[in-house]
Amino acid sequence: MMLWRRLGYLLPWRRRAAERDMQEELQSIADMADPRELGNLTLAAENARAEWGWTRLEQSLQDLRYAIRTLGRNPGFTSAAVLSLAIGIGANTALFTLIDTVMWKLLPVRDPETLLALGQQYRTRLSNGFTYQQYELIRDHTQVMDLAAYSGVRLNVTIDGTIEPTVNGALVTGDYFPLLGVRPAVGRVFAREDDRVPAGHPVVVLSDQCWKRRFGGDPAVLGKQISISGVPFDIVGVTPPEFFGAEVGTAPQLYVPVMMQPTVMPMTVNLLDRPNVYSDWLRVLGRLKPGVSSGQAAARLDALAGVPETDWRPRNKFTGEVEDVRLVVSSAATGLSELRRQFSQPLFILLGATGIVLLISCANVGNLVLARSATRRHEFALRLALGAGRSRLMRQVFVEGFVLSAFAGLAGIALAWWATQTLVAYASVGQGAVVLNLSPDLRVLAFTAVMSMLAALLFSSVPALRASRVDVSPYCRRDFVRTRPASGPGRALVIVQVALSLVLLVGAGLFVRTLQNLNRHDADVDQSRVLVVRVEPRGGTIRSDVSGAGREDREPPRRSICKPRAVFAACAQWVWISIRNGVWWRAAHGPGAHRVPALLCDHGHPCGARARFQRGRFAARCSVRRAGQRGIRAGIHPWERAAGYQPRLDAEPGAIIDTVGPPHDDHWRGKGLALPEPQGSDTAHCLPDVPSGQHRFRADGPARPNDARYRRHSETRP
Amino acid sequence: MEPLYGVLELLVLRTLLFGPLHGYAIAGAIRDSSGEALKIEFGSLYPALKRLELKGWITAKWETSEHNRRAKVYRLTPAGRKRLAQETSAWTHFVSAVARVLKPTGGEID
Repeated sequence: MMLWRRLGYLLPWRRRAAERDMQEELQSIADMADPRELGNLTLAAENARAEWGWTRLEQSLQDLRYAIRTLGRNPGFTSAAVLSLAIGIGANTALFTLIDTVMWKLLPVRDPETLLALGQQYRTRLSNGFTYQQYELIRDHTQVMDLAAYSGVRLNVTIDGTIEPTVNGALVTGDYFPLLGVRPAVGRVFAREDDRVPAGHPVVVLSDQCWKRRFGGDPAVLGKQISISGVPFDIVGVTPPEFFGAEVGTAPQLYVPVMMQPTVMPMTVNLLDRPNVYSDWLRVLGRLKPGVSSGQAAARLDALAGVPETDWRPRNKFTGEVEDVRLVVSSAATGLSELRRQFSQPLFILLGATGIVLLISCANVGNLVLARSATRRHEFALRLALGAGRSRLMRQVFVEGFVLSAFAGLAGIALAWWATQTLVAYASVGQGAVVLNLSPDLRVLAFTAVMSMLAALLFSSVPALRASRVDVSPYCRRDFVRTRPASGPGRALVIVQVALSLVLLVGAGLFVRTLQNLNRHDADVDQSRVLVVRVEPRGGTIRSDVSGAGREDREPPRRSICKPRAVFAACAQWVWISIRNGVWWRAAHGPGAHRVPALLCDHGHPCGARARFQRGRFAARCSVRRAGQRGIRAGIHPWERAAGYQPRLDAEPGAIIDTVGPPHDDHWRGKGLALPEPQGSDTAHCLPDVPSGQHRFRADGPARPNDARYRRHSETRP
Repeated sequence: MEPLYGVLELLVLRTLLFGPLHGYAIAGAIRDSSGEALKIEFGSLYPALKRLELKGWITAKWETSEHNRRAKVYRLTPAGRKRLAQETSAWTHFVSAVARVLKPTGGEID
């Protein structure tokens, strides 16, 4: 009852009506009585208003109105303060958004808390990869967990006869969608029946993004066919908009049953058939069966390896012995992520740095406010003299601070939106596009709000304290002369500000240097005007056995694609854009094969580096040891040797190769085995899949990846 | 029983028991009935009236008096009547308790 009446007074017009009514009543009383008997009617009205219970709110609203008016009258100060704070708040919000998205957000699937990921715990490392055979074995024999597996895959898609740019897709087992509890937005998702016969289920599920982007969100897309690697697939459904798979940072556009692996990856071996223990390409997700405790599950998983027919353990690549490895289960509530491993630490370090940025902008704004409050002493003194409480003055300063930081928070969110997009774009240069859902959610907004509040409290506290200490008396004297007050806290604030700024400046400088160094390290080759072209088979006609790809197949694309404006073209298995991209001698044949850092390239390639490195200077030196003997240097320069498709080492098969990189770079150090030459061919084992590899061109103008000329040429090639 | 909210409220409720009155008249009535002992300024009475009104124990209505003057007249509501009964008995308890303390029946104080 009373609460309702009170709430009624919250409405401004109700309050205005009550106020009018009260004034009228007091007037009527004043008319009929002797003023001496009545006492202080103004005070009575004030107390009566307090009875309505919203005095504080009303005062706050007054403060707010006043604050907005004052700030509006000082546009210079206001914009400087808001801008300064917005940078601090925006940087923090951006970092928080990234950290939240990459590390903390639960997967948008059913019961993400109970979702688990299976891993192989070696003595020194943890691997999340499994072969299909391992997955099958574990799935069929655990009895304590429901399992599903997936793998990222780049797909070669043709829609309505048009070749699409290579699409990121996922190969998923039939249990994948049921396990995650994904309900289709349109049509259906895969069930177990969609994943039984190898190469027998030409069906595909689209992601919401792909559906909207490529098919305009048309529900009639069901039953339509698209072609993947030359084979027609039926579209059976669309995933819901929020679903992006189980891996943060990637977003498959198409989902295809694992059984279709040989079909959609014609250039690769059949991973379903061949118990190739070295290519652990599947990630395994699971949930405990109802009533099974995690302890029971762990015991059961451990027991699997003990029985010969369920022993899933891989064998060592060199010795052939069974590896010492255990199955471990970890929570996948926030999904698996390569990004997280890579970026979590830098992100937190950056968050620390942006925290300091915010502190500095607080000090900055605090100083501005303080400087302004020095000029506002007269105003404060006047208000005090008129009967305002000191707490009211302090509140005024805080309210002004909150208004400032509220505006700054809004600007900060906009800034953060832009900054996160830019950062992600920066991180996704190259092949692996990073896809993150960065739309600010409630958590991010709450973070920003709290940050803004804290900032306001921080930068307003000193000025508020000052405001409360205003001395009225000098301002009331007639001979008052404005003097510059000696500012104790102001000076301290300046010192803090300068100190913090210096630390930040040095920190930022170091940070930028590091970033530059990392980039330069990557760019040992001059990257300007370089265009990377991937040539992918249109599919269908390419045999999955690739060893037959001869030199003729490799030659034409290079010649024809690069014609228009290229001054140099080269062809390599991996593109030499960065050392970290890995240029490995993929010695895939023979027992104990090992990857040796080396470059598989044709004669065009070293020229590409000539802009900055003289021929041979940068070449990795290889010293070759015969087995059992040490220190016989053959002095091989793989770059030179590789020229003309002759990457032969002057080493007997079985010799151990030490590779030594350029003097300043440890990245090239490694060991490997020299391999026997395959019969009747000098190159086939070394350049098995160049046609599907990547080709580099140096254009005589700025390289534009979307240059229609390059695209057209690349499309015309198989 | 709840502690006494305020004597002023009790007096107002009691005064209104005899019939509706406007604010100034309430102050006068309290003064008269207390034999000029309690002189309550209208300024301090007024917030109490608003408080009682907010609690729903009295209601106010604009009325025109016999001298053709408009005045806001307060009257007791049924809830206020009930409250007055409670408060009165509480007050009696309180007063007698205080009186017992002040005038002990034993002979400790001479």
